[in-house]
Amino acid sequence: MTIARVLRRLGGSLVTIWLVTSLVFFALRLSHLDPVAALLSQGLATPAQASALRASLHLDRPLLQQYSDFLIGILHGDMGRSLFSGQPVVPIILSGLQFTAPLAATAWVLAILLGLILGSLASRARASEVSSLMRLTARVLNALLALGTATPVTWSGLLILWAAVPVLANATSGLERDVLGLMLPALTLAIASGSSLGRVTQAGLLAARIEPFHLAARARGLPSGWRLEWQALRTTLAPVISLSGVEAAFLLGGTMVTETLFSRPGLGRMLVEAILRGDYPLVQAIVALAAAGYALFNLLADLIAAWLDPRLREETQ
Amino acid sequence: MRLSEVVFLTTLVLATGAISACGSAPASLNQLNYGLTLVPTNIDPQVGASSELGIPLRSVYDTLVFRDAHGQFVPGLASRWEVSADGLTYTFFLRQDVRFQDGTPFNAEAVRINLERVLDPAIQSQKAAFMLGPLQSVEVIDPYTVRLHMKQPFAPLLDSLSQVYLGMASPAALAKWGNADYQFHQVGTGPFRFVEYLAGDHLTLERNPDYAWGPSTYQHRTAQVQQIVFRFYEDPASRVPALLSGEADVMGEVPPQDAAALSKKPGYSLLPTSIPGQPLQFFLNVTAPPTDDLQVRQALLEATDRGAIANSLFGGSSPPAQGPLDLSTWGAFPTIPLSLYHPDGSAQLLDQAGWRLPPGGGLRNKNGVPLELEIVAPPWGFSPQAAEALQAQWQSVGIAVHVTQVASITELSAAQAGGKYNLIADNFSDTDPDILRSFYSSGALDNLSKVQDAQLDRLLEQAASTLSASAREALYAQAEKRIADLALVIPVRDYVNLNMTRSPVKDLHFDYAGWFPILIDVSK
Repeated sequence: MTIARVLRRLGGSLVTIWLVTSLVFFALRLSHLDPVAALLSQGLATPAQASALRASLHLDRPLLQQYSDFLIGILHGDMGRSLFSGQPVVPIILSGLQFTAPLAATAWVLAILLGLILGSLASRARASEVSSLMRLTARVLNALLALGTATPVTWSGLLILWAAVPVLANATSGLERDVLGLMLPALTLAIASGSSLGRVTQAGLLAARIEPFHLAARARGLPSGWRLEWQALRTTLAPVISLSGVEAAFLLGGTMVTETLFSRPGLGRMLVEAILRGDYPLVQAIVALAAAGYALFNLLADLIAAWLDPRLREETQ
Repeated sequence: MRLSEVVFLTTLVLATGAISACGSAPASLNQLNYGLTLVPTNIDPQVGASSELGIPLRSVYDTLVFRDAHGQFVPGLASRWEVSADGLTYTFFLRQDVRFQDGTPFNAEAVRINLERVLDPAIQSQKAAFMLGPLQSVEVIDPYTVRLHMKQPFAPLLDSLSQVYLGMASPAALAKWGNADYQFHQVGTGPFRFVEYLAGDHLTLERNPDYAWGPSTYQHRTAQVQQIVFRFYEDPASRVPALLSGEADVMGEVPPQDAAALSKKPGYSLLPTSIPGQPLQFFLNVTAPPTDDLQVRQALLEATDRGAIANSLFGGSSPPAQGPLDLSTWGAFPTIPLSLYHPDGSAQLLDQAGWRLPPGGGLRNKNGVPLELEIVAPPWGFSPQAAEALQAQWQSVGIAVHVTQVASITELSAAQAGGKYNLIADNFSDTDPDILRSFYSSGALDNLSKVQDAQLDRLLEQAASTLSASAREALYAQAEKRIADLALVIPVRDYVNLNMTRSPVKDLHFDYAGWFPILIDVSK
């Protein structure tokens, strides 16, 4: 990909992020979610105190003025303060990002690995040069991949949580617990996302193996094994990685569920809580970050795919 | 392929073996792992309103007074106090040997600074400010004597001053960190020191070795464990696995079925704790038809087998509620007893009100309009399940019920403002029956039944400004009877918090407010 194309992609991403954030801005304020009511509902305040609070939070100003204040604020690098904790939004997000970023990244890498390995194994259901045990495993994997795509993360996460109880009981050092605290939710997400990637890999490999270039390689005497497999896999790698960029949206949404279930702090859980409380600045900032992250994931995935598969690179005449 | 299969399987086996073999380091006996549930938005007790923040912070702060197990006020940071006959002046004589955890002395000036901070609109106190009621000013008489001047008598004041939300913070720390950051660097006078809080992840407390001024409600002079780490388990399904794996030694709000099963295992104890305040309940909207008709509301009460609902949802762990307050609350009376359940009486009342059953069965109707009710339920406290139970019970007497579940407190407030509901669930825990005034008086923000009754208003106002305990009790008896006569609420079950511990945790007890553990006495 040329620099110009990358820059154009980045420009497009910026427009997307701005549109998404504006949409959320207006949706929050036009909805019936009232943060003042939530702030005061447990404090048992009077209606006069409610209006005073609304004024101090600038929620009584006209909608377009709030929007222009918001945009001006962003140009100055000020994304506002959380309505509830009073903290500036950027440090809050950074503190959540330090937990969500490793989770999303690990889940993404695991998903790709799981998808490629399991998809490749599953594609051998009818291969004649492998043992019947392998063919049986391949059939089982085929069914499991279908199951994995269909299983909701809330359910598979719960199963993994319970299955991990004896492992957690034996993990006494802080490092072990930290590793498990990252790997368990990452595995939950990777199984769901990796199953889709696995099915694409499986289909791609089945197609690649009957291509002339592959048959020619076998005819030349390239032994069956990882090297031959890798040759077939290379054609499927690019679409799988591109797809994984799209799957990033699933991963971002999945962090909400897994962070809550595995009691792990992070942006997903923070976003859910912020929406429920009507904490407008925090919701806007996290959604903007999510849109940016999604655009970046996709760009990265497409760059890697283009590097792997020359057919995807833009030709400049 | 074969070789790689072997390599893959070997790696898997070795990895599993490695993880399970690493059990050599013994667990720290001096660290207690405590499981909390919801993450509070703001953990400064003078600002935030959640009970969750009080669980750790009750032991970081002391209050001017404490309440013992019988509800009697005992000295805390104040060794004695005097209340003027007209109830407008409270004079507290403070202990002189107390130091904050940062070494600065505790004195009358500190009390003044704390109370004025709570009332400062800049910190947007969500609970503590309202607990002070008509407080007018705080006067420092001498270094260890402070006087509170009230605009009018306010009976709940002492109770407010016994709660963590009015705990005394170090003025030096307040000044150093500022209002927004103080919650991450809290300094009190209590038996535990605040070490750190990583939002949503964990909160760490450490034993305060200099603590020597605990109230009579504390059995020990200093803390029995060295460190307590609190973690959050928002999803109820994750609480029992955390106990089983040892990640948590203590867990609060364990789901009833899980608690029943786990308590049978050796090494696990169940500590059910009654929480005073309001029960799980449904307010009846007196402005929306058909619940605007008193006979219909009474009929609904008589059609409900509350004992059966409490039993099916909570096993035996929660008593069914019999009034607008949990019976464990001071000033609570069983004005809505279970004996009200009378299906035949209910059918009669509905017939009298004009809602008749058609000959072939089905829904009751009046002039062709079917009897349909709308219930709004928030997701907490088993409200949706209780709403569904009501739906099932009332269907059998010919009433159709539609349940709307809202996702959060903001949506609940929106639904309340909209007013298009016949029943709505909400409840609040509190040790003083004055909580009723916030829900049942005409102008209250949380007047969910939308009642406008001058007699009830008068009774609740009087009860808030009468200082004599016996006079207050009599007034609350009348107010609760009035609430029952107007059929404003259907109470379902008294709140019982199911706490569980695993051995070797011992001596976990909860204070008068029900939610807050007395951490100084817990040992592991």
